[in-house]
Amino acid sequence: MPAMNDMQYIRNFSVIAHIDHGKSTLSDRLLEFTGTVGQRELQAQTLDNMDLEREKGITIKSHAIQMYHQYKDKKTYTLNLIDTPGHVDFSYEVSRSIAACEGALLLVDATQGIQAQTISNLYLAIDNDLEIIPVINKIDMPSAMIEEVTEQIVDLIGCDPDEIVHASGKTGEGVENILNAIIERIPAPEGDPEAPLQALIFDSVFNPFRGVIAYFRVFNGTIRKKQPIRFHNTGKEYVAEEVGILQMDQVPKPALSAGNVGYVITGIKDTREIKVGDTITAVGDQEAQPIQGFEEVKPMVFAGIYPIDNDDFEDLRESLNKLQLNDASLVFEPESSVALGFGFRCGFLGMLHLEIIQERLSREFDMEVITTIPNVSYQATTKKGEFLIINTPNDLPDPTLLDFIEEPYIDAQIITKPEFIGSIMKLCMDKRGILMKQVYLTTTRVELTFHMPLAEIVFDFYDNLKSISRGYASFDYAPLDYRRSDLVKMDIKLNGENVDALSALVHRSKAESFGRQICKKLKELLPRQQFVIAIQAAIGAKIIARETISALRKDVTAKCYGGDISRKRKLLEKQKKGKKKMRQVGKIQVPQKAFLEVLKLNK
Amino acid sequence: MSGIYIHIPFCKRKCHYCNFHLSASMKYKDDVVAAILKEISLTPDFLKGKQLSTIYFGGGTPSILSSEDFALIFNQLEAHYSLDCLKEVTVECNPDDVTPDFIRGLEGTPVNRYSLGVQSFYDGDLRALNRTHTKKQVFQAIELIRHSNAKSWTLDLIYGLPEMTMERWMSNLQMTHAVDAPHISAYALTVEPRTALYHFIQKRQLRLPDDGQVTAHFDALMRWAGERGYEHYEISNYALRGHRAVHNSSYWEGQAYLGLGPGAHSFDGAFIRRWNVRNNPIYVRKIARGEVPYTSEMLTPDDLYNEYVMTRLRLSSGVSRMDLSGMGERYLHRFEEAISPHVESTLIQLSEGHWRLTDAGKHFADRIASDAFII
Repeated sequence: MPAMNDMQYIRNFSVIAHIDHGKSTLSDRLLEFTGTVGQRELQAQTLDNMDLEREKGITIKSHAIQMYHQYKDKKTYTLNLIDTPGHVDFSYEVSRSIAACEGALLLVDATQGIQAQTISNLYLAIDNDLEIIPVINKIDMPSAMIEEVTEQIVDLIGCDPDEIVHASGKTGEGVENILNAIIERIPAPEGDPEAPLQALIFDSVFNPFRGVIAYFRVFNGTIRKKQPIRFHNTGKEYVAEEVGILQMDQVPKPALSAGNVGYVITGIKDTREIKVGDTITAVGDQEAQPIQGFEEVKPMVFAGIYPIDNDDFEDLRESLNKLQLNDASLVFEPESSVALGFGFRCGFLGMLHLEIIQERLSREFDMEVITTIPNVSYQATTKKGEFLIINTPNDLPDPTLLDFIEEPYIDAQIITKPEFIGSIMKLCMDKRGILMKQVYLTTTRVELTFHMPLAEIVFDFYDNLKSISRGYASFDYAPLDYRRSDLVKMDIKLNGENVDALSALVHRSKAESFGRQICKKLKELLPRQQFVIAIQAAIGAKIIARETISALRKDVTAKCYGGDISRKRKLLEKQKKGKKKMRQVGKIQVPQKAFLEVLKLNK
Repeated sequence: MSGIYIHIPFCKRKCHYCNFHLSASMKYKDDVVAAILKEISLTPDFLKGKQLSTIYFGGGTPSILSSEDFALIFNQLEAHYSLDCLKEVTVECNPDDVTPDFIRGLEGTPVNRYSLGVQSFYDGDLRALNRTHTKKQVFQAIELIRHSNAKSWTLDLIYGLPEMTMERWMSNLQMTHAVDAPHISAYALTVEPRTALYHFIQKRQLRLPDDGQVTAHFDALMRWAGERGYEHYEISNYALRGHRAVHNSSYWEGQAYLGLGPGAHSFDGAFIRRWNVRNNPIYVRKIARGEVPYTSEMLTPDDLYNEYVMTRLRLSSGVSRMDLSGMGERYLHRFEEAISPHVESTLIQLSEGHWRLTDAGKHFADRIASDAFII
């Protein structure tokens, strides 16, 4: 379908939705209706193309796809859908994707109503002056509460009830109305195709054959094939070997001008050279201005990653190198542990990012790893005035040599219903948070702002928040500053031996209860062995908590009924597989999962 | 040497610890027997060239078969196998089925060994397990068997039963001694999920002895058996001289056996295991069409090694160094490496080229075997 080349026939939009509200299914319907993808090619939920994304039901990477729709005026419009990640770990990527659009669909499940998670992205979109098109999805469900949800939306964004589109991703009802609304209500992009080039990079992906592919939105000027380009913030120059638009596959084009969304291939092999939020400009353009809002994404959480089998250390390095190719936010360097041997200290955007990396190592590289207790990055100043960055508890100098330690604080926003204020305040105070602000956004939505230590949200904060607010609290944060703190190193001992991989830096006031909880959790996680196991938490030489696991007395099963040897063999094979996922610490078998699970204290 | 196992998948009622999918209804009994007769005629090649030494009727409850059923089965077997060299023909029995008529019905057949599902000599235990028999019936059955022309017999016992004290367990062993059982199979109770017993324990209507008590039952049993001249020749089996179970030993020693009936398992003595479909109606229907409904698996060298280690560690003869090096030096090395910590903690000992579990090691047979597994 020939699209009109004029900017006034382009619409750029994203979709804001809570997990499970049907974003992926509805996106698929849009692609199907516009003929962008045939029903046969439609692997359920086309946009989430990592297996992991489909399973977790969340979008991890941003994606973009172009479709065409012929409107009532007989003109064919180009619609660029820019999908956004759905988790606070990736909020910077979300903000860049939103910055690339003029409008957004606010998708709300008719059976569930507005969920808090949607709200922070919605406000991000409103802050970026995006035109919001509210859509009530799943109207075909018997439990749909259309009137109630309509009221909620009107309450939240102050629109007219008539402006809300009713749709069903399942039946396809309302899909055409959505397409028409996008054309009617979302403004066409503005910009000057003849002006100096300014294109915003909102995502990049790694292709083993083509290298790194950057996704961008042109704000001004035109990007042409074979044109020398410059990435403004890194200062690096390349040649645009290929530019094009994103459909189900990449479609090369000679040029893309202001208002368009597309991709560029420059032969770069390392994703770290392409930074989300950077601006593409033309080489030689001395006056080139970056698009506002670029930030260097910094790892927030650090943890050791170790191979189960020490012989796999080099394979692990190779796998992490490959992962880094399409995930520039992952950083790592070698380290060693007495308990675990050789491994890597890795930096992540957050806990979900950590879990994703661990999962991808297992799925894509068949690499089973042990992850140690995660920590944030501390700053220590010694009495001699040396300044040290502490990314692992074992780097912490002896307390007698320390002048002071500082820990990172964040500015945290929580949006919730008024009835949950009390319990959320208590949670945040328990986490050493300081309430800075309390603002009613509507009569039923309140925004709380806290300054909190980042370390306190690393472990179980998010799960806690979700459960005390019954899912009705959105959480967003940004790094704030470093503040002095009374931190101590807590060690965990198994039968008297220090397990360095389980050491943690904790606030002194929390050490004892944290130690007790970790010992208790380890008691659940460690399988019984043929001897008694003492689990202790200690600060220096002082034991602050203790648990005991009694010895295993027997492990022998009865007969093989009627010569069924296979069943028993398979049972023992399973037992053996479980053991393969264990790590020997001294004489004690520690399951791989224990190192991470130990922190899920409330489960 | 080879054996035939015949599975009779019916019970009068289901024991509380049983997780088998078996039928408590006799509806298909005649159909299943007819199908087994036909299966005999469909499978004579499986044991070709191997002398038939043992037959074993297991279940379920083979003692629900009538003497006519047994006669039909033996006639059919005779038509396809030579029964001249049979050493052992065993029938598993529930004590309440063992009547003078039952014993008389089997005289004149090749049956020469009875396996009696006693489980406990206490009515309270038997009721708690939902067994169909009583203590009185146990003694009657033993009396009849001892006066029959059977060459040997055995009884099953379970320890670690709900509420079982050491006194209760020792008195079960004294009863066993009193009736001169030439062979005993004794198992620790395993509570499988989705059984009535599991449910009662979850609901705290029954209380199991803790692992320490169950371990003590096993230790007491081993001591008791040794003092009374029983040879502890397999982890759950004890025999007076000349009374080892020949058929069951063939499972543990890797010999060929053919399983007949729903859910029955077969092994070709080399590397093929197969098992019939468990479902009675499907089994009957397929056999009627001349087709044996089974699934099979081909064992790899690693599987064969794993099975060898798993079964031999349970035997008093143990794992032979020569057998392992016959499989390949890699297996020998692997085994030696994997068990070295257990040798150190004297759970297993090497003497005269055989590794054998010590009494302490017998409590951990599964763990030690799986440590040595290759996967």
